[in-house]
Amino acid sequence: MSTVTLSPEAPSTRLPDRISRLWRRLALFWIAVILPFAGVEYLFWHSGETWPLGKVARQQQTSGRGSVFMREFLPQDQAPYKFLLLSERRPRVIVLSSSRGMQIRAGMIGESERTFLNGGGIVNTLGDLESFVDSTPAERLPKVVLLAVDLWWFNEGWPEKARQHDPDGAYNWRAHMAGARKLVMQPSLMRRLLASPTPEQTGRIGISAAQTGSGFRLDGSVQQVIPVPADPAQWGFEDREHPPVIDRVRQGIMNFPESHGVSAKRLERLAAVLELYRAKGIQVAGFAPPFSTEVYRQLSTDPRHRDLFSAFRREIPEAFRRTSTPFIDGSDLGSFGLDDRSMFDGFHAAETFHLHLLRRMLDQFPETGAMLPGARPAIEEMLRSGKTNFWYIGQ
Amino acid sequence: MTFCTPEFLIFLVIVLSSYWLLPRRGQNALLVVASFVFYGWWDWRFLFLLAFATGVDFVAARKMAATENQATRRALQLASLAINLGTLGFFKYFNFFIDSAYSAMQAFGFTGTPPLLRVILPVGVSFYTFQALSYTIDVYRRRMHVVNDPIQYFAFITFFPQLVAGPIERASNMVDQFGAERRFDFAFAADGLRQMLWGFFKKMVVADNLAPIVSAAYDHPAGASGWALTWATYAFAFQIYCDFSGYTDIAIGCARLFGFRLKRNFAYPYFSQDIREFWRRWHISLSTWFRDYLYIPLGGNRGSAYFTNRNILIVFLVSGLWHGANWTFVIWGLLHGLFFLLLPASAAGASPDDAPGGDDWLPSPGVALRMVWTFHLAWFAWIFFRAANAGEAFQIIAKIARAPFDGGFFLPPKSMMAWIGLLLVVEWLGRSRQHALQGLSWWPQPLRWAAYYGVVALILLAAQLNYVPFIYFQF
Repeated sequence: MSTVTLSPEAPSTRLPDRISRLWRRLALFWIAVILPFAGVEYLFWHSGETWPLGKVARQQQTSGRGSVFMREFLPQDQAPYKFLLLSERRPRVIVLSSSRGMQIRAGMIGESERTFLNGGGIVNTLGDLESFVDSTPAERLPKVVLLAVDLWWFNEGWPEKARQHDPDGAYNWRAHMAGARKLVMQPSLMRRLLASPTPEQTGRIGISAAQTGSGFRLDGSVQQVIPVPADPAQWGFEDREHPPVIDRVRQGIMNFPESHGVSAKRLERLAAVLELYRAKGIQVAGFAPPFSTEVYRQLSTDPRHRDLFSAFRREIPEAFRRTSTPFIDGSDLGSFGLDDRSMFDGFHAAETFHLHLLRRMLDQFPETGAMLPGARPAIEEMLRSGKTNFWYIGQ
Repeated sequence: MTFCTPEFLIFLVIVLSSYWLLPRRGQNALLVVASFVFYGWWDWRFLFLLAFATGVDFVAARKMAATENQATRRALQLASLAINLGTLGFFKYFNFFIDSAYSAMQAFGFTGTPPLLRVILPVGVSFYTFQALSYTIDVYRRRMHVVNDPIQYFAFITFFPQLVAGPIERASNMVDQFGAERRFDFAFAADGLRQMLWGFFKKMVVADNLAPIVSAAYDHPAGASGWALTWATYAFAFQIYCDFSGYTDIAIGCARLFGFRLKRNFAYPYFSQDIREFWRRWHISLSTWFRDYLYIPLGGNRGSAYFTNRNILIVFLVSGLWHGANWTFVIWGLLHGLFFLLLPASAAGASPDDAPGGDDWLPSPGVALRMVWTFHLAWFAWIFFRAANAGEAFQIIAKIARAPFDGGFFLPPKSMMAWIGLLLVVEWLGRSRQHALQGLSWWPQPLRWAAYYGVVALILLAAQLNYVPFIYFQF
C-alpha cells in the first residue's frame, strides 16, 4: 500500500461548473437522507406532536372540552404548557401540585375552564411553590389555591430549589432526532398516523393523545384513559409507574431517598411560603395526596422512611393549622373508607378519590365552602351519578 | 459554535457558497468575518482577546521585519512572547500556580485562602496562541517572511476550521496559502467531505457513546468497581482518540472545501509499535511544535546524553502542562517522557505517512504484540489524564490492579465493543491513507455511495444526542 495524492482536476473546467457539480452531488446525496426525515416531520406535525404550545392552546380553545394534548415522541415538560395556559386566562382557582394533583377537574368544584386551572406539574419543590407566587404577575394570581403537598418536599435528599424548566421540546433538534429514531422503528404506527384525522378534526393533539385519548384537558387536568373492568369484582390494583412506586420506596430511590425526619428548615420555609400567599391575598387549602395500601404500609414501617412519614403526618397539618390554613391529610386511603381501587398507581389517585377528599375538606373547614362556592353541589351530584366509578367521575 | 450541530452545517453552507464567488482578498475577508462569527458564537467577549492577541503579533512581526537592529528585534520578540504567554498564563495557569504555592506553604504552617480568580478559560486559547507564536518566532529567526496584509494574517490565525482545537498550523505552511489564488478542485473538496464524514462518525458515534461509560466510573471512582474502572479506561482511550482526531478530521476536511491543506494531526497512533512511534502519530502538530520551538532551542540532541534526556523530559512535562493546569497532566507528561526514554524503540513508523504495522493485511504476531503493549502504555497514562486529581488516579490504579482478585467480573458493554471494533477495522484497512475513508474514492460510485449512506445512517441512528463538548476545547 502507498500514500495517495489526489490529482487536481483538469484545468479546462470552469470554476462555476466545478462548484455547481459539487452542490449537485451533495443535493442528490442528501435528498435521499432528508426525504425520510421530512416524512417523519410531516407525521409529527400532522399529529400535533410538534405543534408549538401556543398553537396547542388555541386549538384546545377551539375544540372545547373534548380536546386533549399529550406528546409521545417529543419531550413535554408540563410546567411551560401550564404557565402558557395561565398567561392566557385569569383563573380564580388553581391547583398547584406535582403530577399527583392533576386529576382535579374544573367541574368537581363547580368551576369552568375560564375560572379554573389545574397547574399540576408546576410545583415539585418548595422552591417551585415560592417561585410561582414570586414570578407570576399580580393580576394573574388566583384567589384560591388548592395545594397538594408531597412527602418528599421535606426530605433533605430531595431538591429544595425551584427547578429550571426545560425549553419546549418542539424546538429542540436533538429531541426531534431522538423522536424520529423511535418513530421510524414503528412502521405500523407511521401508517396509522398517516391515515388518522388531524387534531383539528379530533381535538386530540400529539401522538399519545391521538393513540390513547389521554392528555391534558382545556382546564389543565389530565385525562387518563385506562379501560375500566366490565365487572368490578375482576378489578385488581396495578401500579402503572415505571419503576413501580413500591420499588422506589423499598430501594430508597427517586422520590424516596432515605430520611430520618422532616427537615426543620423546610418546615419553616413552608410556613413562610403560606404567609407569603396570604400576604398576596391568596387563600390556600392544602392536602396530602394518598398512597396505595402497600406503599402506605411500607412508608409507615420501613426504618428508612417511617420517621419522615410520621413526622410529615404530624408536622405538616400543624404548620397549616398555625397559619389558619385548611389542610386534609389524605395519605391513608382507608380513612376515607376507600381502597386501592381508587388508585391508578402507588401514588396517583384517580379522579373519584378527589371528590371524597374535597367533600371532607368542605366538612372539616367550613370556610372552604366560601372559597369554593360551587363545590358542594357539584361533588354531591357527581358522587350520586351512576356514571361515576372507582376512577372516573360522571360529568 | 461547535461542529456537531445543525447551526454549523448551515453556517458552512452559507460561507462556502459565498466564498468561491469572491476574489482572493474577498475570500480572506469573508473567512475573517466567518471565523469571528464562529468564535463569537460561544462568547462574543473573547473576540476582543482574539483580536488583541492576533493584532499584537501582526504589529510585532512587521516592526521586526522593518529593522535590522538585533536588540530591537529581540525586544519585540520578547514582547510578543510575554504578551502571548502572559495571556495564556493568566487565563489558564494563574489559579493553578497560586493554589499550588499556597498548598506548599501550608506544609510550613502557613494558613490562608489563596486569592483565586473567577475567570473563564477562552476556548482554544492554547491553540491560537501557539499558532501566533510560531509566526513571530519564525519571522524573528528569518525563516518566514513578514505578512503585510492584515486580512491575510488575521485569516491565517483565526481560520475557523482549526481555530479552537487545531491542528496548530505553522505560518510557513499556511500564510502563503492565504496569499495565493485558490482554485476549486472537485476531487480535493470531495475528499474533504469524506474526511469530515469520518470525523463526524468518530466524534458523534464512537466518542460520545463511550463518554457516559467513562463518566459513570471516573466521576465517582470511590463507588466504582475495579472492572468498571478498567473498562472505563479502555473506553476513555478510544473516546479521547475519536473525540480529538474526529475534530481534526472535520477541521482538515472543512479546510479542503475552502482550498486549504492543513497539517496532518493524527496517523493511526494506536497501531504504533513503540511509544516513540506513538508520538510521531499522536497530535503531530503539537509534538512538532514543541520539537521546533522548545526541544531544539534547548539544545535538542546536540549535547551529551544527559542533556538530550533532560530536554526530552522537559518537553514532555511542558506538553503535559499545556493540556491543563492540573498535576494529573504533569504526571501524564512525565510518564510518557519516561516511557520514551526508558523503553526500547523499534524502527517502525519513521514517518507518520508510512502505514503503521506494514502493508500486510494482518500484522505478524510480533508486530501485533508490540502494538498491544504500546497501546497499554498509553492506556495506563490516560488514567492520570482523565482522573480529577492525582489522588483519585492512584486510587483508580489500585482498584484496577485488585480487580482480578476482588471478583465481580463483567464484560464491557456490547455497544462499546461494537463501536471500538468497527473503528479499529475501518482504520486498519485505511491506515495507508491520510484518513480512513480516503480509499473509497477509488470504489465504483454505487458502492461508494452505499458506504457513505451506511456511515450517515450510523450517525443518524446511533449518534449520542446529549451534548458532549469536544474534550480538547478545555485546553
